[in-house]
Amino acid sequence: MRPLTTACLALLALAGCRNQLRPFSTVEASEVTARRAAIRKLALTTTGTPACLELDALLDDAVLAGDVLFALERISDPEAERILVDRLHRASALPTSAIIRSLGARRAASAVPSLLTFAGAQRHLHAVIPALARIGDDRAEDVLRAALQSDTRYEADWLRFVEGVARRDPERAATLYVTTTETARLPQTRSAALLGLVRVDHADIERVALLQLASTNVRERHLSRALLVRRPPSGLATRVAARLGSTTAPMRGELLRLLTALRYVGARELVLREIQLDRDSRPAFQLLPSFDGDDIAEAALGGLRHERPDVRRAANDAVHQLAALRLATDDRNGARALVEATLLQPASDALLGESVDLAERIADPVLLPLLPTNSLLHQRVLKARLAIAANLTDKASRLRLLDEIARGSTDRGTRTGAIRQLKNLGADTSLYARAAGFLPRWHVLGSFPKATDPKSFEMHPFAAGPTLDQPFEVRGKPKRWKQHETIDADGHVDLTFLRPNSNAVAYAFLELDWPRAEKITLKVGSDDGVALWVNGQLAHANFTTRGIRTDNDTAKTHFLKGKNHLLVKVSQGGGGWEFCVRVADDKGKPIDLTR
Amino acid sequence: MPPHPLSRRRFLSHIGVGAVGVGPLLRASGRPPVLDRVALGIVGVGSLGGGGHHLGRCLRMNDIDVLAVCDADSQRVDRAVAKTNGRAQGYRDFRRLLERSDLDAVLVVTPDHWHALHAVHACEAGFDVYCEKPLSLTVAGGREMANAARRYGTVFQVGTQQRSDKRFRWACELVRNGELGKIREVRVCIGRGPEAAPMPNATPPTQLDWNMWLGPAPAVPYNQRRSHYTFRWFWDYSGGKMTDWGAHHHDIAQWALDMEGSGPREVEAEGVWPQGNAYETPVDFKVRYVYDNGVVMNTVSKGENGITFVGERGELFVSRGKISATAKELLDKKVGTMPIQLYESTNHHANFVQCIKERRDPASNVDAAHRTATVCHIGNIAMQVGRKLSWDPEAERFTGDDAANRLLAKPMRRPWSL
Repeated sequence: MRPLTTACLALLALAGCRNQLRPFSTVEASEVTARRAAIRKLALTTTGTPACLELDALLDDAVLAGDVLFALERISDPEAERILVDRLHRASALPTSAIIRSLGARRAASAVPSLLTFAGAQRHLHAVIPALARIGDDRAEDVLRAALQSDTRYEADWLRFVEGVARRDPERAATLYVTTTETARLPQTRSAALLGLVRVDHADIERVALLQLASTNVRERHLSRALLVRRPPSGLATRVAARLGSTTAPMRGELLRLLTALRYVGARELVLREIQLDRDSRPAFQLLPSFDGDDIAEAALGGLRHERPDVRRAANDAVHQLAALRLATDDRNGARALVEATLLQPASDALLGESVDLAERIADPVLLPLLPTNSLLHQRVLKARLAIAANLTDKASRLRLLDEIARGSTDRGTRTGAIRQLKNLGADTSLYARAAGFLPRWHVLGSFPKATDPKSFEMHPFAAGPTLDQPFEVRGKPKRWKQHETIDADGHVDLTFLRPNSNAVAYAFLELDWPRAEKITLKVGSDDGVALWVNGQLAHANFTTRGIRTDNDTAKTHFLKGKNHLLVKVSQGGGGWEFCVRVADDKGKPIDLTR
Repeated sequence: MPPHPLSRRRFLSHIGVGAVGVGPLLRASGRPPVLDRVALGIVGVGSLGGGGHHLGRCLRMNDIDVLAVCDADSQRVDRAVAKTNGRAQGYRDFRRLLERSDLDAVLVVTPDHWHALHAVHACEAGFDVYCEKPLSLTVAGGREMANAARRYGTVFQVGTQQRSDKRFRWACELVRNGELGKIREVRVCIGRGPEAAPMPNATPPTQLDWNMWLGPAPAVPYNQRRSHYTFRWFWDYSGGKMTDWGAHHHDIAQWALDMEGSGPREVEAEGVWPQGNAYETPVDFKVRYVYDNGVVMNTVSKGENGITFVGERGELFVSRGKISATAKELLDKKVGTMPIQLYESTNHHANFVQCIKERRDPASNVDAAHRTATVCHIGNIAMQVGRKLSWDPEAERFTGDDAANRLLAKPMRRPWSL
């Protein structure tokens, strides 16, 4: 038997006597995994010097050393700590840094002198610094301070150390926190130090927080502002307002933000004054939507003519936000007036796009001639036109506009919206889908119980072809073919009106006159599975569960000259249930069916 | 590194201004400007992190940009990157993700044994954190996380999303406002632990970095039962049903009892341990907690999943999708109409984002979640040691029981440490 096994068994026997652990058999103990499990059990139950010494012996075993370290880290007995400290200076199968980390986890004060020695020799610093920080001994302050200044990765350790100091000596901790706000290089460390100052309730909070408001780091500014807003020292707003005149432009912006967030009564006037004085007024423009009133809107509109592009952009953005706020309060005319200005004087193409989107929401015909002809914005402009079309009173103009949108838009939703309006106006709308090769008019029958396997899915009950004027019995109940025309621009036929509309199948049928016999490509989309018969022959089947996409599948088939019969079977699990079929030529190019 | 879309943090750094703090103003398109969007990294993109609950939801939210995803399983990383249409950068080592300077927050959706490391390092890197429940693997780990969050002023949301469910808030407000009279007992039913046949150890799948997946947990050979979803039935990585569902329902119980900053004083438990089972955590259990005010909380595995508050005036039952009372009039008072009103949130993710913008505590803050996780952990410990334990919520230690106290922390496999 190997000595290691003997040692383990001895440990187990010891533990078994002391803690009534289940004795392990020799066979189990011969397995490394079992020995590991045994050591882990010991870590939870054993105490006393003999057991620790046995574990100490196992630290020289490369296989089990890691597990023993687990145990020694956990055992509360002081002997375990002594062994770990001792092992810092003696060889073992473990790296020294691993032992140092365990001492840190144990918060082993007795290890401090050894750790300081390592630190002095610049050895194992990456383990020594976190360990010293965790132990939190005052003797380590100089070493930790030096580490703070040498490498940003030790800043978290320094904070942990100061937190320990704060528990013992808040005054001293406050001094350390102030130092940290001045010397730390990571913004999150400076922010954390500011929070530390708040926790020890130090008088310097306002000064430090205002200092951090000038940081180049967003989060640091954000956190210090939030902190000042949440716990404003008495008279803060007045003091901040007084500082406005004697500070740099970026800081003025920050102070204005702070005053706005503090809901300082004079903030509104200060923001407007900043815009009048025009000293890097971009932050002031950004703050305008925090307030309300005609003078605010005027100030924002005035910024659209500013000589500096960044200020114009800020003003344009402010006008948009003010318009959105007016829309939210149903002030459609007020919003329109603002958007008219930004459509005429956009600060950038991106902002012009935003103006177009707002015009869509306002949907006032007055805005129609102001919409841009910029080709990059074409689709967004068409959406805006569609919204405006609904409010046009002149039917002829409206029909013309909707026809233009239905033909010109590449967005299915926009085209469908236009077609819907056209349908409501009594126009023949099937041609829009047919122009792109889609088939919008079908006879629909259903629903039937869902097929359970692909084989049965590829069969249908109309051996002699559907008889559209005869009812078809489903479980003893007659169901009739129903004519159905979709207004969807891509010919998506929604079947969810059929009952039941889950775990079911339905059929759709149409007869199509074709001028000549030729090879045809049928592009099929479906939610969920689909089977397609052309003139009684199965042309395509896909028994699947999926969402619909136009042209999901492609089927190669051929049409006869004269009448052709298309029968589609669509399966449904739950949720959406629809299909679409598009006719394309042999090469897959959609055929215009209106010709 | 490929170029990333403009994030809020990068945008603000670029233009040199901070968040305005004037509230969430939407752009005309309905999508907030970059200034008001939050750039996220997700650590752990398995079935939960990379599925509909997190990634899917984040992608649907206008004010979130998912810019980074990370997992020890490269297949999952690729899948998640594809879901973002390539906008997110994929990582296998979370440390590389935390080096990104353009993220605002990190979602931690890894197995429990990783939570403390991921969350504490994210706090130290200056990110806000959304961490899945249960918050921690151990009481000590949870304390580290809560301390780190407070140290760095981190907005720290925990995935106990029942706090953003109106029914649970209603139930808690009814209890807090004394509508049930004095509460005598809380019955928490969280379901049985699973059983499964053991599987042999195997070579890890090529896409899985098993050593990284194990991280701070003890080194063991790969076994399919241990990895991915079923990790929660092994002590090295999780705490079984007690921390899985217990994290949700104990959280509601603590919230209702106004014990968010404290916990029970006594705990005793018995468990039915798996026999011939692949898993380690108990299949059935009964745990009895006693609070300072005499309220007894009985947590059991059997029965209808949910929480029952037993008061002088009747019983109130609440679960997902259901709230009922022994007397109808107990439900007369509606949520938000009683004198004591609790934190209102109707969408856990949206609440997190809003709190980042406003720098305030979210619905499931880290301190309360740590207390909740502690309730679960001490129940498990009582089951493991098999005796009644006296718990000191202030010191977060058992009184006079060294063996039980040793279970409050677990050493980390090197090089991992906190």
